[in-house]
Amino acid sequence: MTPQAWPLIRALRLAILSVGALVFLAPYVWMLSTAMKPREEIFSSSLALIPERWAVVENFSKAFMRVPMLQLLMNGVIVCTIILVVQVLVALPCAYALAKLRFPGARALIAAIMLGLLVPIHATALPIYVALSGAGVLNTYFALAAPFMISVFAIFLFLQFFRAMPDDLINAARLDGMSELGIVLRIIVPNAWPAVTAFSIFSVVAHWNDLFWPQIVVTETAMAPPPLGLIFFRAAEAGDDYGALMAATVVVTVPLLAAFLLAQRRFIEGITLTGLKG
Amino acid sequence: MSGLALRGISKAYGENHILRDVTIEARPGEFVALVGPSGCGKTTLLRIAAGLDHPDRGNVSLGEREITAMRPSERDIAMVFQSYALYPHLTAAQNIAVPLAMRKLTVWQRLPGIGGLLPGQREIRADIQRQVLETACTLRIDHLLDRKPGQMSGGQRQRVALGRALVRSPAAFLMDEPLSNLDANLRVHTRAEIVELHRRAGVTTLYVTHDQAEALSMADRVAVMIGGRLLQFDTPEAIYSNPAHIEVARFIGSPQINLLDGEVDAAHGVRIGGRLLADGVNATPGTSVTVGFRPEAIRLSAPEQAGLAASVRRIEFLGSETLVFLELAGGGASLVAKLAPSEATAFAPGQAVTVMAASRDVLVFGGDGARLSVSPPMRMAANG
Repeated sequence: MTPQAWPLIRALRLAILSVGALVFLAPYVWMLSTAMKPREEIFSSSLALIPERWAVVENFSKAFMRVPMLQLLMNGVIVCTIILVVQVLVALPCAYALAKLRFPGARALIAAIMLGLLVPIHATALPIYVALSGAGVLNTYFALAAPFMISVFAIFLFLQFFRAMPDDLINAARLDGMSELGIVLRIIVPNAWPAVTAFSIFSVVAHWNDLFWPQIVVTETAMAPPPLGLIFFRAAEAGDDYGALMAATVVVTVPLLAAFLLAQRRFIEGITLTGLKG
Repeated sequence: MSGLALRGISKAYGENHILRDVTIEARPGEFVALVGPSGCGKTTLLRIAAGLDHPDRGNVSLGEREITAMRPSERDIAMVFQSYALYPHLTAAQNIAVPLAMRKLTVWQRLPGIGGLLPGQREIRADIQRQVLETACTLRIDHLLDRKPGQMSGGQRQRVALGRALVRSPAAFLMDEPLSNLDANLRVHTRAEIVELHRRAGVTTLYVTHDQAEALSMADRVAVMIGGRLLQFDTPEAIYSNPAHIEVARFIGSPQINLLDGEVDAAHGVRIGGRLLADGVNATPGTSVTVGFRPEAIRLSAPEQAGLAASVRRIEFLGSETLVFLELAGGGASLVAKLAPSEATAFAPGQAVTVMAASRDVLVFGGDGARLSVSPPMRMAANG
């Protein structure tokens, strides 16, 4: 291959990647565009990204006035926080025990975790709904969070991560006088931040955007997380006011985007700073 | 000060016998080296002493205390790991302080935030800082205290690991090949430092290594383990010049001991190539034996003198000494002789020579590898 051929190949590669990126970004761009258009332009037959008349203030103020946006966002934050905190609190010691302690039944437990990874929430939704309904806790944060509090995915992820940690590190901690709980808190957790951050991204994204489960256990706007709130909004108020609906959607998406960018930086810092190889 | 005793230790993983009835008693303040090829069970034995593994049989005691069933943290034993096992998220100072903090502060006092408000903890923390600094000065790492392990070289990490073990003045020290990750220069240097530290602290020490030179040079007594058995436990001098087993003779000493196969004749002598190498061997005539002599026991002289005929194959000049590799005439067995460089100048590759060894330097091992006694000791072996 001649050196002159390189720029061509690179240009081609760049073009293919750009097309791919455009395809994936198009819905978001359209969402932003719609959120800024007045009603008549949304339904006009022309496909224009830039609105002729800007309706940003109109759409966003409508979204904030007609929908309890702050309530929805708050619900999302509370539910995601409960889920994430309990998931990590359960999964860290559990994964440590499975990765580093020898006890009868450990293999069976790991097999059970693998099985758990295979069962989707949709399969167990009905029995869990019946149980929550029987307990009379529908339309509560607890009902929204309960099925996800023990995450086999988190246990699996941490398990893989802890297995790579040297045994001698834990043996040294034992000789230094730490209890097993002390080892988890003082040695494992400080070194597991990259794994915890990575998992947090997965967990928060999944549960912030989740529509399936909230639709089952929540019927009141007061308890609805953002996506469900938007559904309520569309059904009850907006009707065909897509500008306001898209504005509300933008508001719902922004915190997630911000959180992700923030966590991503922390995530990379976490990997480079801990120096686990030491 | 207390001695550390491992008595009748056996350990097996399934059919795989790692340790078979091993007994090692280190006297108070003694430096004992456990040496053997990899897989001989020496590290497992150390882990049993630390409480990280549990023996199938046998018991461990520290001074008057029986500690077999105790958890590692209750044993008052410190260990230095081959990988150093420093906590990567803590600075050197924090690493060294961990064992003190775990022992001196209560659970509540260790809590971040709340712990700082409890009475008494300020004095204890100041005391810990003082001890950390003291230990760091001893090891000359006081300028590294703010660094994390990732920012230190291998030798520096190794010192921090030593510091973490030293700082709490344990009743016994365990070291698992602490020098094996260092480069050759640093290894010799640190070897001397560890011996010096031991002399000053006077703490009973078990030191695991696969390097026989390290074991011989550092230890008060050396335990040679091979295949899960303790073959000999004695002073370095005795291990070297008076090995109890052929495997010990083979493992200790560099270059390796010269070994020749032979048979005990009717007069209890052992002849190789028609020459009497050993006399008065305490074995029934007809027994197959192995005769061994160290490279430095060999005297080389011109051919046609009394002794084993051989030819020089290769000469290696090592500075302070010269190794002469020889091939025995007829049999093809190879030997190595260690000579002073001035003596070695008389020889060149291809030259025919005569090999001799004083009978007091000749060791005879039976078919099972055990050492056989030889008498009388003072007769010249190579004059038959």
